[in-house]
Amino acid sequence: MAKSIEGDIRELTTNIDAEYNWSVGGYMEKFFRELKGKKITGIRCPVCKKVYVPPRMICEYCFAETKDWIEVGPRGTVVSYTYGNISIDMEKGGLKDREEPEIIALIKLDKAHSCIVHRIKKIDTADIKVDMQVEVVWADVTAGNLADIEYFKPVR
Amino acid sequence: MRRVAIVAYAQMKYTKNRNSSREVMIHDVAREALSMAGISKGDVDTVINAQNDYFDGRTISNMKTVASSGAYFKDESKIEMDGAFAAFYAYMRILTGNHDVAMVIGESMASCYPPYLPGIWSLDPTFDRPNGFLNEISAAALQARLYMHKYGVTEKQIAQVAVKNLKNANKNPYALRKMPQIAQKDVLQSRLLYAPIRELNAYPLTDGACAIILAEEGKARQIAKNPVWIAGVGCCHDTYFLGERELYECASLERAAEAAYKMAEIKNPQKQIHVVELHENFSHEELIYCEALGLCGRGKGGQLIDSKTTEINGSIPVNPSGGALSANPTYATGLIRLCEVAMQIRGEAGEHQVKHEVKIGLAHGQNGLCAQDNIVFILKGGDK
Repeated sequence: MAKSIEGDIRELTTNIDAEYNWSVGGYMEKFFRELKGKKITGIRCPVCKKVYVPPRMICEYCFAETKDWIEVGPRGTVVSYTYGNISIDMEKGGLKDREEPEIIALIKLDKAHSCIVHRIKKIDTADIKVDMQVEVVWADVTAGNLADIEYFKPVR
Repeated sequence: MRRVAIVAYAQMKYTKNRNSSREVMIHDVAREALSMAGISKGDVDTVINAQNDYFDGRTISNMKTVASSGAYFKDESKIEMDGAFAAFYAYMRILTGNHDVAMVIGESMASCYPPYLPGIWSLDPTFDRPNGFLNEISAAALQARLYMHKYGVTEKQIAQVAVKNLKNANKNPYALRKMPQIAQKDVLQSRLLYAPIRELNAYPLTDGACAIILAEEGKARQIAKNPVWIAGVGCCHDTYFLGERELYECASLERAAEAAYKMAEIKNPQKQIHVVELHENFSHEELIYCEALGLCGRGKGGQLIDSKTTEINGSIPVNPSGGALSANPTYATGLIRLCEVAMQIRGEAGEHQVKHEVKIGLAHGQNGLCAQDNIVFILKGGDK
């Protein structure tokens, strides 16, 4: 067997920095435009009748083109949740501590079949439960982008 | 159809920082596998690498590893998935009859790339990525909570999976994470990442490589006195969108296993399979996977770990090597499962060799968030 070179070997740091301009496609474009009017839109498969949020063109189960737009939410059900004392360091990778835990949930919006992943605020980590009802809290000024959905809060 | 066997393999001592170039690491396992087979580079017809451009920091990263993997002037290819899928690719190449002997290498170095970011870069750029909530750990946490809620599985049972595997790892000379005294409380008190996932429920960042050599029957019998045959394989991909999957189960693994069992004529996996090596990045996944593989009933993963069936001295040892919780060089991890099962079948696992006779073993590989893609191999020793 070949003998490896051992010992401290110098490391170089290099950076790949690239911006991409993604076409969101016609379906996501409509989704974003509707957010500006504080509406969350899903789309229904004409075959299995499942409603997808965010919308997509193909129902992969039926391999059919989805067609019917419907408004979903603004309330939904917590399917699962987690809270993180850490987050991922988006600069260097790895883990970094958070000052406050962030609650992240798998949320099934009313009238939708798929779930979205979003954050929940206005509740203690100890009080969050699977199956609890939550509702969207909109940004004060909506602009037709993802930041329009600021967070979800428990329905009281 | 041609019969194909694993005829040689090589692992390395997995580490946090290999402190060498990627090429040296690949070269080491390639040379060692050739040495075990007693063949030279010239006897290898095709080389398949499992690499990821984002891990390697270089597009089409296999261009540079042609030399180190022994692929110079050969028909080389790469798969940007776990190494178990690379083994599947190499297997298919041999089945075509165009190649007789294939080298398969999987590798990555977490000490080089920004950990966890490649996983985030795999998310949908129009929704989940800019939202910034999902990553491989938060996704696993959502899955773990849902699974626990659905079937009443406890944090202690999930911690016990880590205890079992990390105890096994103490006997594995290649393992990175070794904790001889590990107990349930160590797992339950380890650093909370995303509840309920703690540091010891999660894989350690790892540098490492693994190689195996596959050969068709004639060559396999010349090369090895104890070839390990690929008796069955199945592969299945689920939807990309996490919110569309029933995360308390692993439907794509169930289908992959069904296909592999059919091909290998496995009718009763609980009776017919003697050892299992699973590619679980987080401890709760082992229980979900055991259910999907039919090693216990649906929702019975918690009872399975309680029963001690999957311990190294149990009737179906799962991860006697310690599994990915003890070392997880991403893209080598599934290939290591194949290697470990081959070692068990050949009786070459040393201190972590299971006590009962191993004729048939199952090796699993996966990739994607919460195991979107799954592959199952059934390996057999002996003449049939």
